[in-house]
Amino acid sequence: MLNIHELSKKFGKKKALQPTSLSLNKGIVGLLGPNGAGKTTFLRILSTYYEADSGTIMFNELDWSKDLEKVRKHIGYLPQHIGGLPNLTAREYLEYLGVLRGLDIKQLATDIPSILREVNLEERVDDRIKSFSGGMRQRLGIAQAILHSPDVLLVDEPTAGLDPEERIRFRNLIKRLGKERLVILSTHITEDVAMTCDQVLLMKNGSIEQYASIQEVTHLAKGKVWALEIDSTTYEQVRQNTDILITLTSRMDDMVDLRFIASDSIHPQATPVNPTLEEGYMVWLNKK
Amino acid sequence: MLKIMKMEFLQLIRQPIWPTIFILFIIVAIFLPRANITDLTVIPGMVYFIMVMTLLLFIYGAERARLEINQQFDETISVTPLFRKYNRSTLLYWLVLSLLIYIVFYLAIVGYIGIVHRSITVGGVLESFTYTLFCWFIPFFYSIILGYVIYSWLPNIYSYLMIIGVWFLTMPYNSMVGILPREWGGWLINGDPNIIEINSVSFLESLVINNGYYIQRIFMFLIVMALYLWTRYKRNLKIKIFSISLLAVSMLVPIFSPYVPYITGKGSLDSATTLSLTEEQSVTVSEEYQINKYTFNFKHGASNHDLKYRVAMDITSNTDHITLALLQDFKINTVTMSTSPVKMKRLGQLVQLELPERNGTIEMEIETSTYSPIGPTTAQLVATSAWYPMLPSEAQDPYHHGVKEDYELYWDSPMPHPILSNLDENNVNHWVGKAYGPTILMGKFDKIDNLTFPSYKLLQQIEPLTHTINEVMQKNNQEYNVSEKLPTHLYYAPVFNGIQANPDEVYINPESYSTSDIFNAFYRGEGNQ
Repeated sequence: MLNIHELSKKFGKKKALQPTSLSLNKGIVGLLGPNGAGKTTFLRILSTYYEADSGTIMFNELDWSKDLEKVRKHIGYLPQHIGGLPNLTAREYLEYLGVLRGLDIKQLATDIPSILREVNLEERVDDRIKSFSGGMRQRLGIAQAILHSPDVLLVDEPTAGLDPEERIRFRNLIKRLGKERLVILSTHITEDVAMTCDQVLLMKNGSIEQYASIQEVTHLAKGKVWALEIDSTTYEQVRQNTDILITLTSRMDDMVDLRFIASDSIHPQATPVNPTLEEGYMVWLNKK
Repeated sequence: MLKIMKMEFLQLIRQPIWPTIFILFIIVAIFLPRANITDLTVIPGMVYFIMVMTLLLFIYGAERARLEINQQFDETISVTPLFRKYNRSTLLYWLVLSLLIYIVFYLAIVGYIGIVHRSITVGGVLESFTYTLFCWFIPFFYSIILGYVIYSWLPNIYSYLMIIGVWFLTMPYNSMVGILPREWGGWLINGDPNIIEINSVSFLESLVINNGYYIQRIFMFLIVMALYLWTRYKRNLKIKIFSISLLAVSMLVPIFSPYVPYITGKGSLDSATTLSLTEEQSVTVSEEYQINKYTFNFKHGASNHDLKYRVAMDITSNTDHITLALLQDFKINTVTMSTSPVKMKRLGQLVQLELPERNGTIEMEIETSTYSPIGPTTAQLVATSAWYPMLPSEAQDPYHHGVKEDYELYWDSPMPHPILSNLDENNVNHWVGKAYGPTILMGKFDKIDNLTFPSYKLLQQIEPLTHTINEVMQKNNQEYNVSEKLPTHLYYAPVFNGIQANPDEVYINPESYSTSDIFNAFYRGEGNQ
């Protein structure tokens, strides 16, 4: 179990992470929040990249402030941007990072092909990283993060910039990995969380405000999401309404299907519908 | 560690632009000045090429940092358990890379000189290897780290401007243009800080590593390491505090160092070594005394121009007031006679003493920190110069007014080097004898019979000089109807510009003398030139 107690971080006068306490178990936890909410700072502290100003982090008996090198053996981290050393091959890059993780070279020689198979890169094992697409680099990043079978896997905005196919493949990979360990998946794409996570941490202004299940977050929008089919002229009028938040539109000929969040129905034809995680998240985000 | 270094080398080799630049540059650095690369003594003169190489390595270091930042590699490796090992390995990799570049560069030059000019000697290789190790290899290594540090802290185009600024302030060229005072620049120069001096005044210090260089390299190492640690562990408070402390401690090194790496000077030997008295001063000279014996105890400072000595002079005087000549660079700290203080008045290059008794021993504590013929590893104290208290008339014209006295010399230096003297060596660093004055030549000199000359000159270069002087003297002898001839012992030493002589010895600057110098040394009083 990962126990976090009164963890905080400041950059100059700006509080990047307000005092935070929570406990996380095995499984996939989504870390949702808008840009600048402090998600990356939080993950960087957990990954040991940043030092916290105060507070403690414990994983079982391991203390972040005392056993840094041991802690790092149990942590896998995929930063937001991963490039690798462009002139090395995927195998060499993983060997390099394996050595830096204190892994046995001979063992690495057998592990690397299977890990690359897991991330669908087995055919590119001896290709240089500079020839990889963004998605392939992300998968290579995940490969380096799980190379040492960490107990805690931290993944920061992994699907940003991936094409839909890559994104689905990536979600499946994360899902598989989450069966054996704690995975914290930081993102502002709610679909990623909805598809992969069991629990979600909602973060805003450097503060983790809610730790809940996907259903609980979704439930925040219950009774506030409406569906409506209207013509485009009416749609233009509805769009001007600042009391509503349109979450989805689709056009067919002159008609527009839309979903919106509002405390009350704004149109006689609007019907209440079941909310999605994104809508629950939007309700939470706009809560004053 | 080797595996990590191997990956770094793979990264370098597969991006062949850098190996290509380094190799091409080495070829250019030999090809362009090939006419001057005749022997190993020219190595310090390759300073411009070394400066360009250090700039390239600054940029290489910056490019390494740019790669890490652009590829977000830092965030990936910083959280690995062996991050510290990675940092050590990176340093080791840069050290090995610098060493490789240095070895290829050095061997290429030695090879070129050996094949084309066949003027390689074992001594020359050892000397130039030590010199280049300190003035080429170590600066190469430091340049990579500094480039890396600068780009890491300023990861944009301005970092290259900053690199040029830092490079400009720390390159040996700064010793020529003097943007920073010598006392600062000498400590900051990433290379040979004495290029201008060794090529104009302190020829003997060329290719020599003095004690100050060792300390300066340690000083720079502390700074570079502090900056590197600060850069690599900028998110680790403890290491940041350690780096700042290390930086603060390193700043104390120049303050408390007993040695400095630099040699100060005005680029001329004239003012320091020639005695010239005004008419007014000549009137005040009182020479009704005789010095029978001098006993010197020297303490060579092995730093810049530092020398201290205590001299005891056994004197017989007919008067209470005597005048001695002593060059202005030499400061008298105390004068006593039989433990009583002696009243002293300094008039430029003259010293007037009021003796408490007419016969006895005068003791003086004298020191200099500006006399050019004293260097960190060299000393050229010649019998004809008033670096010690002597008769003013002898100091002005030692050839015609030289007086023989007994001398006893003790020499102490923290950096022992071979010493040649005109006196007999009684023991290690102890000389005795009767002479017109004592001579101490510390540094690289060769002695063949009665001819002594600096090792950087070949005998074939020295012999024509002697021949020319003899010719001029024969011509002068005919003109003035005299029969002067060169004294028996010839010393070629770059101690002053021109020639000085006493009846036994002549001292000639092999780099700089003229026929008027020959006249001044041997034909004064023979009419106008």
